[in-house]
Parts: sequence; structure tokens; C-alpha cells
Amino acid sequence: MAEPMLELDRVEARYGAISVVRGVSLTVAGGEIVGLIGPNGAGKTTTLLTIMGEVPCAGGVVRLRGKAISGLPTEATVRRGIALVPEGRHIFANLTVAENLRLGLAGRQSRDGLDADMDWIHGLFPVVGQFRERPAGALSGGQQQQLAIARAMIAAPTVLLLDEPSLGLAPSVIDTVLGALSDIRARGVAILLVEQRAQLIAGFADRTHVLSNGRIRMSLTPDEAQDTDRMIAAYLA
Amino acid sequence: MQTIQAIIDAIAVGALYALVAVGLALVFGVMRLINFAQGELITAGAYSLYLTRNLPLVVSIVVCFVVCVALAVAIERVAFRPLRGASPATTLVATFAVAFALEAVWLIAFTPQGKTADLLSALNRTATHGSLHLRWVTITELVAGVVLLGGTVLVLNRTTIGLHMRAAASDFRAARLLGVRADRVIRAAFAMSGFLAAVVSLLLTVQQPLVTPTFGLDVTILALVGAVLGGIDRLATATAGGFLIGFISSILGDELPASLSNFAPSFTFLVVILVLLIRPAGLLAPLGQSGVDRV
Repeated sequence: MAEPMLELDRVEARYGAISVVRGVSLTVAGGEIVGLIGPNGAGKTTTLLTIMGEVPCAGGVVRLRGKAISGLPTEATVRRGIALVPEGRHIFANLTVAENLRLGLAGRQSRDGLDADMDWIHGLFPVVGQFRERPAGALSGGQQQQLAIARAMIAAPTVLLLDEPSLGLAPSVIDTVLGALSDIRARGVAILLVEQRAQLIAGFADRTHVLSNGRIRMSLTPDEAQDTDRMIAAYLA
Repeated sequence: MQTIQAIIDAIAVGALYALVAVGLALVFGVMRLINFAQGELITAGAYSLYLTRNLPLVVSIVVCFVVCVALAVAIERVAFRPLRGASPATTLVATFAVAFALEAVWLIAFTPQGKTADLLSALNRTATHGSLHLRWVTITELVAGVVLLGGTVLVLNRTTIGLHMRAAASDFRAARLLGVRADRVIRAAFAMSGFLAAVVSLLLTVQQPLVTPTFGLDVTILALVGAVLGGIDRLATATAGGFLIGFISSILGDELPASLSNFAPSFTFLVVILVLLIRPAGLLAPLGQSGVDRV
């Protein structure tokens, strides 16, 4: 396997006395999509927020290219090259599409290659160019999701985290989003994808971990995506 | 003609209050914090004008700006940054603490007796046009109001830090997740509020050159009431609210019979109570928006 871009080594996180993430270990290499699925409350979102430094890492370590990044403030984590597309997209509804995109620059380390990246992003998501001056709140759910991913990619991250990008989207839009993620993977970005749609993601990602009650219970290859019995067993663990 | 004169005067007073309201709304936008210490910035600026009264005017003015901006940034760094993430009630109490502490400093340093800062008293001279008599300070207030409100809008709409401030005001967590630096954005909001406080200090000392430890308090409280009246969660509505309260209090002060003019603030607050009972989110907030925010 290639050198891991992102590595979680027995990561723990808690809210007060409640332990939510309990010793999660996983790796994502550049050009790889890793899925993280599991029931509600399993700790998927908290795992992503712990990587971002938004939730303190209570144990273990998060590494980016072999260097520990746990304990860094969120803004610093972003500038190191990790971008998160949060659940619910968190588009700034009263800002224009172009302004939302410009906000993505806050996490970018250098302006080098920005024009080429912009062209590539506009090619990937034509909608963000088409509605540049429109308030982002006026976009449809699917268009907002595309904007959220485009905005994250402006930062030129080496690791992209996505929290339930398919939530509330029509199947055709989900295909568009997954197609874009394949293109992003092809650029060598490491992608960690949290989802509720277990079979869809297990079939799409290079491998998928099943998280339940804060622990990884099972890891699946795309071939095992249809093994419903195994997946149900992992969910109920 | 007297009515026109009263209206122009009221617009100028409104502009002054709008500037204070903008300072409050900028900080509220990014921190969800009502900064009661804003008034102390105005007082600090006024005392700096008193202390530098023997220096050239330009130096005095520059020092006033430096003092207000530096104090605003220092207050954020010393008092509010350590409390980042604390409950709104805690930070609210902290702003009171800072305000009272600074007021105590003014009392110790300058005694309760007023100090005269009349550097810009020349602005009290009158410009006459027909039967219209306008003090230069009125004209200055109008110009300062328009220029600074326009400048604030330009900074917010045309600069990167302005974009970051608008994003942070709308959803701070989402902004930070994009790499927007919380410290920079908050510092910028406090620095801008300090800058506006310096302008208010300069203009206010023209009208009341006697600086006391509570110099900036009254104008801040009334501007805050105005900002809440308009809707403090948005810059435009807070500004309009600040303007409105200044305008109303000026008109009431002019028009009420002498026996009642002492009660002008009471009438102003009565109007505010009635408005907030009907529109708790503010007079100018979008319909249906809830103004209830548990602290």
C-alpha cells in the first residue's frame, strides 16, 4: 500500500465524560477513497471533527504525512492541507457563490497554481461558474453540495473529508457528486468519506470501515459490499 | 425653517449614534457578544484628547485613534480571548467587568471632576445659509457618518478580512473549518470598533468638552438600545436602529416642552419597550424571526 497521507492511530474523543470515539485506527493514502459507515451516534462525525481539531483528541494521535497534527487549532489543520465538507454543507446562504468560493482560499497555503485549480474546479462543477453572482442560499441542495466540495477544493487539500455528502440529494445528483469525487481522487487527494448509505459507499470506496459505538467493527472491500449479513452484524455489534 | 434645522440636527445626532451602533454590531456579529466596554473606548479617546491638549492638533487626533484602537484590541486579547468558548452569560459579565474596571481607572487617574478637552471647539462655530444656522460639528457628523458607514461597508464587501468577518458573523464554526482565522477576524472587529469609537470621541468632545469617567457610557447605552431596536444581528439594521434612536432623542429634546424635556430619555425608552414587545427581534428584522436568545 502507498504511504498513508492521513493516519489515525488509536484516536479517542469524548464529550465531557462520554467517550464517543474509542481507539479508532485507519489510514488513507493519496488517491484513495476510504469509507466510514455506521449507525447514528456511532462517532463518525466526531471522528472527522477530531481530525480537524474541532473536537480535542483525547487519546492516540492523528498524523498527516507521518507528522502528528493532533492538538493543532482547526484553522491550522486546514492550512496543513486537510479540508472538511461538513454535514449539512454549511454554505453561507447570504454570500454569493463566488464569495463562498473565495472563502475556500482562507485554507490555501499558496496562490501558486490557483488559476489552473479554478479552471479545473469550474470544469468539475460547472454550476459554480454558472451562478457566480447568485446568493448561495438560492441554490438547490445538490448545487449547494457541489459548491461545498468546490469550496473545499479551492484550498488545494491533500486530504478531503466529507460528512454525509449524499444527505437529502436525488440519486442523479449523488451520481454527479460521486463522479466528482472519483476525479478528485485521480488528482492524488486522499478522501475519507462518512456516509449512512452503507452499500453505496462500500461498493464505491477502496475500502470501508464500519464504525459502531466508537469502534471500528469491520472493514469491507468493494467485493463485500453486497454481503448484507456481515454489514448488519457489524451495525448491531 | 426651524423644523428643517431641527431635522438636520437630528440627522447629525443620529449619524453619531449610528457610528456607535456599528461598533457594537461589528463585535456582536463575530462574537455574539454585546461589548459594554465600547463606551470606555470613547471615554479613553476623550481623555487622550485632554492629555494631549497642548500638542499639535494632528498629533492629538492621531494619539486618540491609536489609544482607542490599541485599547479595543488589548481588551479583546486580555479579557475576551481567554473566555472564547465560555457561555454567553460569562462573556457578557466579563464585558461589564471590563467596563467597570476601566471606569475605576478613569476615576483614580482623572478624579470624578470633568477635564476639558476642547481641541476641536472651532467646530462649534456656525455656518449660516439664509435663515439656516448649522454648526460645523453638525456638518462634520453628517460627513463622518456617511464616510465611515460607507467605509465600513466597503471593508466588509471588498476586502478579504471583510469577507471573513461576514462569514464568521453568519456561521463562525463553518468559517473556521474553512481556515478562516478566528483571532484575526475578532481582532479586526475590535480594531474597527476602536477606530469608530475614536471618531465618536472627537465629535462628542466638541459638543460636551467636559470629560468625566462616564463620558462614553450614555451614548453607548442609547446606541445599544437603538441597535437592539433595529436588530443587532445585522449591521444594516443595527446601524439604522442606532440612527433612529439618535434622531428620535434629538427631536424629542427639541420639541418636548421645557417641563418635560428632562424626561426625553424616558419617552425614548417607552417607545423602545413598546416596539420590542411587538417585534422582539428588532423593528427592522425580517418578519417571523425570533428575537429570543437565552443567555
